[in-house]
Amino acid sequence: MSYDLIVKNGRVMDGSGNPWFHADVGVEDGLVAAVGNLGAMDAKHVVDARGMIVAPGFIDIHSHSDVPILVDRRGLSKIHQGVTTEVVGQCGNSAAPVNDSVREYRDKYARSSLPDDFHITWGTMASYMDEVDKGAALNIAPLVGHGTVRQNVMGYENREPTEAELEDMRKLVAEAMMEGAWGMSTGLIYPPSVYGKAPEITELAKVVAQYGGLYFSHIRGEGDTLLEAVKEACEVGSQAGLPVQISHFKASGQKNWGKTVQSLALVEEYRDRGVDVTFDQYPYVASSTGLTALLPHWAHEGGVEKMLEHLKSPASRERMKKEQRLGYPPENILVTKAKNNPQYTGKNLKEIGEIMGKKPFDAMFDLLIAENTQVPSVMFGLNEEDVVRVMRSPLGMVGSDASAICPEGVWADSKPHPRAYGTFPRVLGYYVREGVISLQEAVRKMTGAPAQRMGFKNRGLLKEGYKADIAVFDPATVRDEATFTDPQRYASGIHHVMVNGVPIIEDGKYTGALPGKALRKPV
Amino acid sequence: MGFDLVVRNGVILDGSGNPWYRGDVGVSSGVIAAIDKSGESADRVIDARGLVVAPGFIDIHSHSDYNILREPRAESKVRQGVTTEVIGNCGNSAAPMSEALREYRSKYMAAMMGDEQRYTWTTMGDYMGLVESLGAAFNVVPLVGHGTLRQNAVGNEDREPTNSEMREMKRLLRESLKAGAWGLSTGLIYTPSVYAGTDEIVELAKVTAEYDGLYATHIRGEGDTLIDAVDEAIAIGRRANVKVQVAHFKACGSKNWGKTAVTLRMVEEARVQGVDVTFDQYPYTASSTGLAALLPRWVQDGGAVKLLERLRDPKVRDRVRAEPTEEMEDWSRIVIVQAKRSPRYEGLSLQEIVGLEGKTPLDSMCDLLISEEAQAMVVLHEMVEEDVVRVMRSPIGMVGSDGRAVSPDGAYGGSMVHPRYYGTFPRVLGEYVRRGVVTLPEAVRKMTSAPAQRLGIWDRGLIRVGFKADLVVFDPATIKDEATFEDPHRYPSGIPYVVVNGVPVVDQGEHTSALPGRVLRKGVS
Repeated sequence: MSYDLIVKNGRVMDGSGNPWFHADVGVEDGLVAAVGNLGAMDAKHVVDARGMIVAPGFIDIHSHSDVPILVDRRGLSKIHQGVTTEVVGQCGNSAAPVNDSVREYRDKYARSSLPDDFHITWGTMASYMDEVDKGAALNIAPLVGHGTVRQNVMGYENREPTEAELEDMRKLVAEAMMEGAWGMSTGLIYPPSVYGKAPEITELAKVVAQYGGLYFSHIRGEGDTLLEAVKEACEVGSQAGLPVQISHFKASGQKNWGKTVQSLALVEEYRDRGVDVTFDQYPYVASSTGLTALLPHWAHEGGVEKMLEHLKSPASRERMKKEQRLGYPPENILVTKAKNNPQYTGKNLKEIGEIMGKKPFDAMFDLLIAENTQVPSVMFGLNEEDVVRVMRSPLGMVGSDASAICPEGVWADSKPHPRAYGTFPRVLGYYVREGVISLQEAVRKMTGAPAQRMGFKNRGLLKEGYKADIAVFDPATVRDEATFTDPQRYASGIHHVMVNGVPIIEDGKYTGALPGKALRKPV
Repeated sequence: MGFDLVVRNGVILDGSGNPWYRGDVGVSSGVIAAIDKSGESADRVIDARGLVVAPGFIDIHSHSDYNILREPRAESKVRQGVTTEVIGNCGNSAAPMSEALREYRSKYMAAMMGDEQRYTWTTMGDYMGLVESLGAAFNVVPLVGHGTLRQNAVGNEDREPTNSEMREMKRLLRESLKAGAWGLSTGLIYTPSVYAGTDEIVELAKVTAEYDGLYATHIRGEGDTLIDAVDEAIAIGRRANVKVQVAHFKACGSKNWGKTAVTLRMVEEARVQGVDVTFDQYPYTASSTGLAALLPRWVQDGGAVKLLERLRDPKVRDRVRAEPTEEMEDWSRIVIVQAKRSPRYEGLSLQEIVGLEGKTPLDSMCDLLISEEAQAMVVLHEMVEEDVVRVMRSPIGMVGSDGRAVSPDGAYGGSMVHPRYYGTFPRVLGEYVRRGVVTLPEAVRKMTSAPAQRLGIWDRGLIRVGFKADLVVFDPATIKDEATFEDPHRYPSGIPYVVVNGVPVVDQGEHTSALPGRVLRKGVS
């Protein structure tokens, strides 16, 4: 008998949280055909995994590759980490559905990281997934974004929806779910998702629940209002009757450090009451977001054009300084890309102010004007103790909160958060070696746990009959190489990666294959 | 489509270490057919609202080989949620059994079979067939005992086997593995397994590895010689390229308390080097064994006949007095739990018996062994909680009762058995989870998917579509072991439903009398 592929002599860590065992893994027709001693078996392709861990491919449960995977279908920063499936459509923002006006708006204002010749060609969730299916190195499982749905129906207006608008939103959510979305996400600090109050979100979550989907949330506050925000997310789950995934679980801002004790306790309390709440995390003490996240909510109303007016108005500038959000010191805010002013890329706001000869916030306003408000940044606002405490919770998973990119083309000069390249190997390397969690627990949080959470019935474990998404890595050398100053570096120690039975990384190199699929939730 | 059985409204802990999620489990023809929230019809519905639905527990270290023939209802185990038991541990398996061994057992181990059963089988295949024909409430996974192999081929003598005896042991082992046994066990403190040197075991472990079997060992010492004994188990794993399960991982004797920190590190280092070593544990600070096992090895040489002869010799007793074993350092820690002919001693320590009899503890021990024909059982209070907790926190460990399936009205009902017979699994899920030693999903993993993976049972240990429908439904808030050292024959609370191969064996906390268990044969599904 012969298989398409055999991974020989490795230590199988099957994604369940169990310690490794010696076994070969046989792959046939994109599926795991056998796990065991296959010494006598033949294969067209043999991967020698002696001394290495053979695990299910990692599922990045919080990713923003919606459009980037169409810009560059190789997904290089992710597949070099062993990621074989990404859950996109996060933080309220999904690629679909988009009506004509949203398409036009995005084509104009949401293209800081898009090549000039890239344009949105799709409309519905189904047509977006068809676009993914034209080729991708890894699998893409989309959520529908609440912000996107709201933008389709209400634009950027900061008000409650009318009953008719709510009904339209319900329809869009239902359509996306019927077309195979896995749930709905909110981004309750980002406009227009932020304008949605809890009752609106609960109403839409009820629609998601009817289809057996999940509610994902970038919650309404991760700093001073963290606990209220966690509670809001849990209440949506409780009232709408669906599982909740809180994204990038953390406590931002020095005076909130340590609050993860209470936020974890809150999640456990809800679980004790039968509300299925879990979360994910990226393993860094800095977060990444657009600089506009520092502006007060009223400055976002009406979209980019209105914001540019505020940025140019002296009165608004004064008010924005006083009412700025997040409260990080300027030296803790690093601009990772200034497309039109590359001299500021990689500099913090204090440095940029010095170069411009202005106070940091004035420099920031001017930079936002010069960049049409699109300035990605990294903010050092977290505490290692919180990161460790969250990682030790068995309820948590690993999510990069980043897009699949590569140090080429449109991203060549950018300085993204290193999590885009390092999230998974950083947990497997740094945090496992530091003794924060065991290797098998780390693997579980990247495989079996997110698969269960999503309801992927045939991924996330290395078992006969499951899809052959496989990551082969060296537990002794696996390591994130990306840093804040040099972020676009592929991880080391991840030697082989297979998606749907097809090698995409061999001996650490991309193979050129695009075996990924858009994953559609069975209805 | 309707199901045979649906477990509805519960939260699922699927046996991996994942947290619970909501789902209904539909069962058809003994197999998990669906996991979702759809309301299909079913012949039988179990309402699991507020309860956890988990895969049935796999007791990876148990000793029901003989008693399952007498008490197929397996009460003390299935009521804990155990749906599969690994038997043939500590070097002692029911099969294979030569003519001579049958005679020996019929004479010296008659009590084990009572009036109901006789030692009738010969091969592992025969024994498996017998278990199946009598029926069993749970599934049975047999190992081949090294001591049993040696009794077949060498007898109870303390010497190396000849070449032809070695060939015979290998032949019997192969025959048993081919019949579907899952591995080889040793009991390196028990006669005659104890007489084997490392090389002999390596030879047999290599045969086991050919069949991808498990080497499960009660190691050569769990007290003063613990480190050397763990080292030997790891060396056997390395040399034979076999997967190793160290049974009831612990550290015995006050001067050895804390040594589990060292032995756990040894296991972890061996794993880094590629030796697949894991272990199991029972959640108590007292162990249980045969009283005879506390005697020096030379006294036990030759089996029960010789042992009893020697114990009658005052010179032998003097020599033991002069060269006591480590267990004899504190007689108050040795409590008699089973002495069929002198039940008045049950529940007393050897120190306490001194007060009754005016004899030395050693003389009491020897006289008791004589009157019980070497078959008395004891509980040894010889471990410390700190070690139990440290071992339980290791993700490499599993849960094994090291006990038999018994019942209050059965063959052992009148004996003071170790409470682990009734309480092992609920004690971990109740006491240790509530104390925060392990999380509930982690505890369940150690009882389900971890032992399934360890054995290579690929269709049990998880709640997944296509897996066998071995299920346990328990209340995480109330689950509790009720058995104590003083009152051991008490079923646990908080486990209302247990399903084996799709058939309820415990229903609303009561045994249904169903016997849906199978003998699982490796390589045969």
